[in-house]
Amino acid sequence: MNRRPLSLFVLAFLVVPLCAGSVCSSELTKSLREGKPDLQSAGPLAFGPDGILFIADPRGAAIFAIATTDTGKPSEKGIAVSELDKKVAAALGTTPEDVLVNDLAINPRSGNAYLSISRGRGPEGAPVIARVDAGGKIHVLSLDKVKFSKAALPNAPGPEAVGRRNRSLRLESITDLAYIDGRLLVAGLSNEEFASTLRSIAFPFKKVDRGTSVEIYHGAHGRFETRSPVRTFVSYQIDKKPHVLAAYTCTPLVKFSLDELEPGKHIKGTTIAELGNRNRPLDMIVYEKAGKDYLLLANSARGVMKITTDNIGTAKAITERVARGEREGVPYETIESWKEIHQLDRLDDKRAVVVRRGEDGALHLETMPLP
Amino acid sequence: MRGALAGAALAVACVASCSTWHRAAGLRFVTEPGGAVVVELGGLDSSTATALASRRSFSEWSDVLSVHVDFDGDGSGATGGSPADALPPMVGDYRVEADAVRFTPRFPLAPGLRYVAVYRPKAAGLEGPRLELAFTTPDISREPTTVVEHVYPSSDTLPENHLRFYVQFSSPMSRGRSYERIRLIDDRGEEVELPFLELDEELWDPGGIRFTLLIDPGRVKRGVRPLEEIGPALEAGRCYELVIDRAWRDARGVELAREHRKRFCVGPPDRESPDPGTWEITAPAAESRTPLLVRFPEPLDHGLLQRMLWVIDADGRAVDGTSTVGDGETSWTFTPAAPWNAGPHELAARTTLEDHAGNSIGRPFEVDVFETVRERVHVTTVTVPFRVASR
Repeated sequence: MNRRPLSLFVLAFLVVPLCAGSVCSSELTKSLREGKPDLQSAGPLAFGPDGILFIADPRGAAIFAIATTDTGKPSEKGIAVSELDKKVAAALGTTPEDVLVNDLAINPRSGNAYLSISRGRGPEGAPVIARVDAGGKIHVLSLDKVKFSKAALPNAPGPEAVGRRNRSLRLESITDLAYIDGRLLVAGLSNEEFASTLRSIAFPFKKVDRGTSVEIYHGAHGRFETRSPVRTFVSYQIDKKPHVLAAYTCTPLVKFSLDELEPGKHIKGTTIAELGNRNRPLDMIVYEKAGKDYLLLANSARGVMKITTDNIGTAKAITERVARGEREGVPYETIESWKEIHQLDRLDDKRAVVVRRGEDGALHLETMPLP
Repeated sequence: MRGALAGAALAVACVASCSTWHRAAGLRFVTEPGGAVVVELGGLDSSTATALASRRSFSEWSDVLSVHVDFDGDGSGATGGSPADALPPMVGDYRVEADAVRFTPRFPLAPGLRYVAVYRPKAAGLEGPRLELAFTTPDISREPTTVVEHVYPSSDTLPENHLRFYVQFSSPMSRGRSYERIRLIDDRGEEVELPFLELDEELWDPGGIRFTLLIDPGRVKRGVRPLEEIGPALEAGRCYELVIDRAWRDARGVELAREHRKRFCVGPPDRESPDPGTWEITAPAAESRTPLLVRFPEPLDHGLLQRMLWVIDADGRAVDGTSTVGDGETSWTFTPAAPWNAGPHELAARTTLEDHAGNSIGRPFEVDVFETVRERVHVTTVTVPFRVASR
């Protein structure tokens, strides 16, 4: 997923050239050690600088940073793979039915696409990371000997209690992550307790804190919520301050100030749009077109939404019930030509790479001009 | 299965490669002692083995020796069309051993698939004919045997603000499309639209046999004012069926043996927190392994009951033993591993133990949405004392 928007954009154009070929790269990779990451599952992906790939492992409740060493120049050519699921299945020696594509991320350095995959739909499904280059060639990464580091998410907060049954609550899932200026932002849901959490983890990894619990006003439901997880988010500068724009199921769009994310704190977001009910957001990117920034949000039921950011800083907070599941707040248009998009990430200023399910039922990797 | 696989491999190897034998080079599928199936290009003379050993990368190797899945059974998987359309070769590791090259697939071969191994000596500038060998793995049983063993709660009456179901299967299941396989049908035969919270990372136990299904919190009726637009998923006075579709596939990829329906009717909302003070404890006698029996006035959450109750002895230590949940989740029994010691004991419960409506001992579900999470996740335990009498 592309969580890089403006901040990483800035990084790509300012920081990397300043550090060209030397210090910054080694600083970031210094914390990585060669070995075999004990990945139990491969979920949401995000890229940091220098081809460092962050892989969320929801089953293992951990995040891995892996040096892909994929730092070549991007190709002008787009990425396209027809019957992606069949081809990945062929490389993995199995059937397309046994291939689950969990996320897509473009490496901003090389322009190559990375996919997190489960080989097998059962609980033993093996985690796989694959790279697709501009020629459409699929490379299944070997993670037996890579430079990596691991950040294990600590157990959900709670007192030390006695008893063998007194297992602490564990973060069951990581819903999304993004690298922003030296920190990894992680959204998740703790199972059973059901508290929505955002964590800001410094990279290189040191200690992972308890995270910040987040609360939103859900206009379609007419109430405050702390139990629903962020489904997908992007970072975005509002009035020169870093924010998170987060989309929730059924479908509030909420902004949080990054400056407010403090360990153990509880914060309330500002709901700036209700995008319509009976819908689950899947993936989101930010891009610029004709001098204006837009969000592009893929959804389970309502197609791909192009959301203007014109008044996102001053948008009135939704604090009252929005009746009949209607739209309210920041406006959007539905991009009719973008059908059945399951994953998307930005390839460059003008194009996105998407995972689309075709009418033939197969998954296809395609490059599309940003709308 | 492994033994049969090895035998079949050797038989096919001869049929496919004996006629194209060249300098004794040949392809075969071999089952290794650990059970993994590898592909061996054997009978190489020393100059061929040396020439091949200079290969380093996977693509260098796979140009010469590769294994493909042949989905259509016509060899097209191994030959492909244009590079963009070609199916990639299987990933794995190559190793040169004396007069042979061994390819070990990174993932085990899947049952019921046809694989084709291809040796192209010309790609390495070597002489000799191209060799090709196909092998089909034995199919596993496609007999549908997995069933839904139980849907919790067991009760056929649930509160209007019911929150959570557990679907217990007899064998590990596939994941990824679970929400497509579950429907809630009302008493008019109409499907309730989007009643469940659909999570990308589905809530499975580690073994993949127990699925946690949450009613979308936005569809749980709360307060005195009903939801205006979408309405609650469950309404008091009406009856529903939770339908588990037969098309849900188990971890083998095989459908369930039958559809499962759980019928229940909906009563008034439950906004009361479970009160451990109302639990009836039947204490066992010392020097026996008679189970401790705890009865609750209302059913509690099956999943949470299994891990949020335990017994503490007079020294404050957790008593080792096994527990069972029974009587439609209104009872909990605990059988100690060793006979009970006489003296005071305590039944301990996490305050996060919930009833069917998500009301925990700590607080009713309704209240916490307006309170801060920091308060809500402050997990503590409550204890109820009981005495094990000496005999």
